[in-house]
Amino acid sequence: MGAQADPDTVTPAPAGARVNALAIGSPTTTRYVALLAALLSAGLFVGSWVYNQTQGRDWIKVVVDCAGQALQSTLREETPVPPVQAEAAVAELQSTCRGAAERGRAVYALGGAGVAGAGALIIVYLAPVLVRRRRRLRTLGTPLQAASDRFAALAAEAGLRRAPRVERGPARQRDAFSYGPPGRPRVVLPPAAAVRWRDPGLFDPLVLHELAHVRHRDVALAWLARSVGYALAPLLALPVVVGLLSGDRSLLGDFLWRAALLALTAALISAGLLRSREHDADLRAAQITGDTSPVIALLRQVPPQARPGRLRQLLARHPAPSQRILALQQPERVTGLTFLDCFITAFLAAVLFPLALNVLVALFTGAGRTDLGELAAALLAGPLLGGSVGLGLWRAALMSRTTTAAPRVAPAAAGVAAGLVVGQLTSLGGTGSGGLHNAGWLAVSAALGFGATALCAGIGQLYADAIPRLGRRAALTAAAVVINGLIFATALWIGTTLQFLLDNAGAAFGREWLVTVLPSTSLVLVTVAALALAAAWALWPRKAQVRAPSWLIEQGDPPIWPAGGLHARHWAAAALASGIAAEGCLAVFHSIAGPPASLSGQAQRYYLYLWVAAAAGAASTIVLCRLDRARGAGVACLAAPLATLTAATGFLAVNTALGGHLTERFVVDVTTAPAALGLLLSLTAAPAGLIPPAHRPRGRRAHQLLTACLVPALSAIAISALLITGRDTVVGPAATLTPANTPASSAVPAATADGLRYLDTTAPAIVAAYSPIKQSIAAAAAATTQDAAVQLIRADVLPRLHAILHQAESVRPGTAQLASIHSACIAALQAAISGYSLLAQGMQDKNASVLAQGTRILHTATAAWTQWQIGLIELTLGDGIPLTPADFGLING
Amino acid sequence: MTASDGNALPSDVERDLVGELAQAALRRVAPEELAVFEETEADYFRDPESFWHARRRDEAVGFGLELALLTPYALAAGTAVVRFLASTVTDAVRDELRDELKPVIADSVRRLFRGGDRSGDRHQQRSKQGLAPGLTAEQGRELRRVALRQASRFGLGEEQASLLADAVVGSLLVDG
Repeated sequence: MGAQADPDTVTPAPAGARVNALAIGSPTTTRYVALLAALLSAGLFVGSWVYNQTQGRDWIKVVVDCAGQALQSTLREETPVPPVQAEAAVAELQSTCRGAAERGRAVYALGGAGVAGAGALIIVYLAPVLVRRRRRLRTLGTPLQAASDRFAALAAEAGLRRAPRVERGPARQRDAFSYGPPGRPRVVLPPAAAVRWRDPGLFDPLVLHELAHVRHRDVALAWLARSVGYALAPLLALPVVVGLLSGDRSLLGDFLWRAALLALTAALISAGLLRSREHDADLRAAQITGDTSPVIALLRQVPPQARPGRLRQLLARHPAPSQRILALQQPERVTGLTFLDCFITAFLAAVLFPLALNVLVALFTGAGRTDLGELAAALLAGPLLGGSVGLGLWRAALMSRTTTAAPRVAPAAAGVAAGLVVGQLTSLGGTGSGGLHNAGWLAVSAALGFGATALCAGIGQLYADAIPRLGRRAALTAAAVVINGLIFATALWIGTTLQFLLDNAGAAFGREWLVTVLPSTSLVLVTVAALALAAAWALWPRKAQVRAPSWLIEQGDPPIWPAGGLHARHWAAAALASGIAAEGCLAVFHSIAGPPASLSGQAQRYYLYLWVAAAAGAASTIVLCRLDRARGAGVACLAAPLATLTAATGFLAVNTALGGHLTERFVVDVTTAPAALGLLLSLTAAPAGLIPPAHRPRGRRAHQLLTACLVPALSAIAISALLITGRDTVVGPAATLTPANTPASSAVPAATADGLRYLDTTAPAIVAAYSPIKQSIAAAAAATTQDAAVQLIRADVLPRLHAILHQAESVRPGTAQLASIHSACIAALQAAISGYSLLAQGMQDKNASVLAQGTRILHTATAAWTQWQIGLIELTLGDGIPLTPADFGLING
Repeated sequence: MTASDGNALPSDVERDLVGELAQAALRRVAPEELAVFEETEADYFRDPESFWHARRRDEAVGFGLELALLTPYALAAGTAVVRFLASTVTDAVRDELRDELKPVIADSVRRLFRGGDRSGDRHQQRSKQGLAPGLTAEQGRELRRVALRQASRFGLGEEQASLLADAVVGSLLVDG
């Protein structure tokens, strides 16, 4: 749209203007919040552990009772109801029944975090008193009143509404530092600096640096992080002490290494954050002074450490003086994101996520909305990544417009991917449960994290283009946190849900989830809409030549603001071509294959349409990423939904022409569902923009337009053809699919339907058939003579048992897990037949040994029957997919 | 008054003399430090070793630059100089008389670095030569070496140590 140049012809902003690296919010602030949140989440773990130690047995009893009650209630239904309604009713009954217990579990967990938080607050307010006493700090006093006055003047210059208290240490104190509770910071000067208040080359930059720490709230953040650590240490020691004293060391090893790793990484992260904040404080001090020279001159006085070891470097709270001077000379250097920066945030988010998920799901169980708990957990962790990684990428994109260096996105994306994997593997939330059965599924989270980072970088490029239109810099920070937060929240939610399903229920279940549950999830739909709107705003044409916003330039004239990227006609053409080509493929397929022969066939066609329409978006994403590189992912936020919408429009036109009804609901479903799936595909396609470009001869504009149309169309055709030919693999064989127009279509994939069918039909039938046998057995037990008892067993009990066994053996469970449960039922019936036969024989022959053998076998039958009942409860708990208590939250012992 | 073992001067007298000498030196090289001199001196004499063995702290939200007062170095150098002067005076006194003569020795040292009796031709003549009464040129050079060695020993930079040594000796040798 409008005046946008080819990426290869982008001219960098002229040199000379000094960029204000502090113009927008620092990503390290969010990283600090992430650190605090991750540390507090360890409190959630301890709270859960306390609950399991004290109330765990009661909780299991409640869960099992509730499952049993729900099952019984289903069995009592006189009129059979369709599986989905029955399943929904059972789930609701269970949720309501378990609500109080789950709330209790959540309250304990939140209590753990609360204790850690309260302890941290106590420490953060008490520590300054101790620090002051222990380090013998005092006010500057009368002899240094002039120094106090100068300090106050500098505080006013630094933009602080209220000057912090200034103190000095004893003669042996050598470095300045700040401390104090939130809202009441204090700056401590070494006497050697305080007495030299007349020396502007020493006193001013030193004090301004400390005041910058105060202004950036570094004092509160650093002391809070430290205090949470102190408060958490005794809490984390609790499971260790109890484990050692009680002799139950089953969880000890697993817990210890996770806790130790968390402590070590928290220390490293804290030091890393402090180092980052030092650069910001230096830059702010120089900014207030209006000159970098005084700060640089002071930094030159810092003696470099002689060959510091790697660990010492990682634990250092200050960067090397040479690095600090370099950052002052080239402020844009500190705005880049490294692999480690992104790894840290992703690690913290992944450590936090499962613990928060457990608590939030438990909180929403009573209301029957565990899905809200999952979304809330994603919306908690997502903005942490968005406000750190996303905001950092946006800031880097913005700063890169004033230099010739492009921001490096690939290391950041790799950092996020690695951080998510390591965080999940090491989170305290995995203690005792062992995490995924197949750790390979972690690749799902890694891939989505990588893609989400590429997408954030892309949309950051669009906003860097559009920045002259954004009046307020606070709006940019807010937009970055919200938009990138949504991207990461969606990626986290999809990644963790999908990998859990793939790990527990298999690939077939996962692919059905993609076309049934994913498209109807509000978070995904909101993200698609927000990204499209955000990209549309950023791509709106601007005036031919605009200057950089004045707030972005610290010194010098604001330069002409460069713009780049594809023209609107190129990316719009790419989107339309992809959509038309994809729908064209479907139309050709329909004309060749004819109309579907069955409802299941119709379901397969519908799901295939979702995939193809979504793939149209993915095709345009890949092509735009290749044409426009990292920025292409941002353009795709609008272009991909446009491609999908084009395919959907085509589908609706063809479907209506073939006699389909065009209802409002149908139109909404048909357009939104592929857009949601399209976002997932765009996340996986976005990294294409990070692949270094091959040499591309610059063609004429007409040629470029042709490329923008042809390449996406051909890509869409290729992907659609692959999907159509491999539809049995991608969508699933028609026979296994639930028809799309049944109530089950939106929520129940085949494996679930199988499980629910077993619960709602098969098991009640077996139980119902067994009920009269129990009466006959009771009658035989109450018989006055043994002959009468033998007669009853042979005439009534055994024939009925044989009939049920025959009925049970005719059942063909669809999954291995279901077959395993059902085999317990068959084993119970077989053992009952053997046991009662021997019992009758023993009674008839008056043979005690045969009688004893019969009784033993009947015990075996009872055990197998109990096993079957447990299997049914597991099936009920998992809503059709067998789940054990450990699978849905009873962790940590 | 307490006597310190092995020292030629009682400790409180020695401390007074050291303080006086350090102040005189600081007046020349770091007059701004006089504002906190008394408490720095008190801190120093409470535990001198802690000044030299304090570990470097990498302060959180600090600047990262270590700024030291010159006062402790002046006090350390002053201590060495006062002890040197006291030993010079006591060398002439028989061992068995030293304890009884400590007040006398103190007076002699005080006279030495206060420039002694400032009236009289001899004093004026020595002042013109840049020397305190009772100190030879060789002793003046030795004093500077002592002060410099002491300041350098505790890690003061070469330039600053040299300045301080000059200031210490200068305050002994030159009036005012």
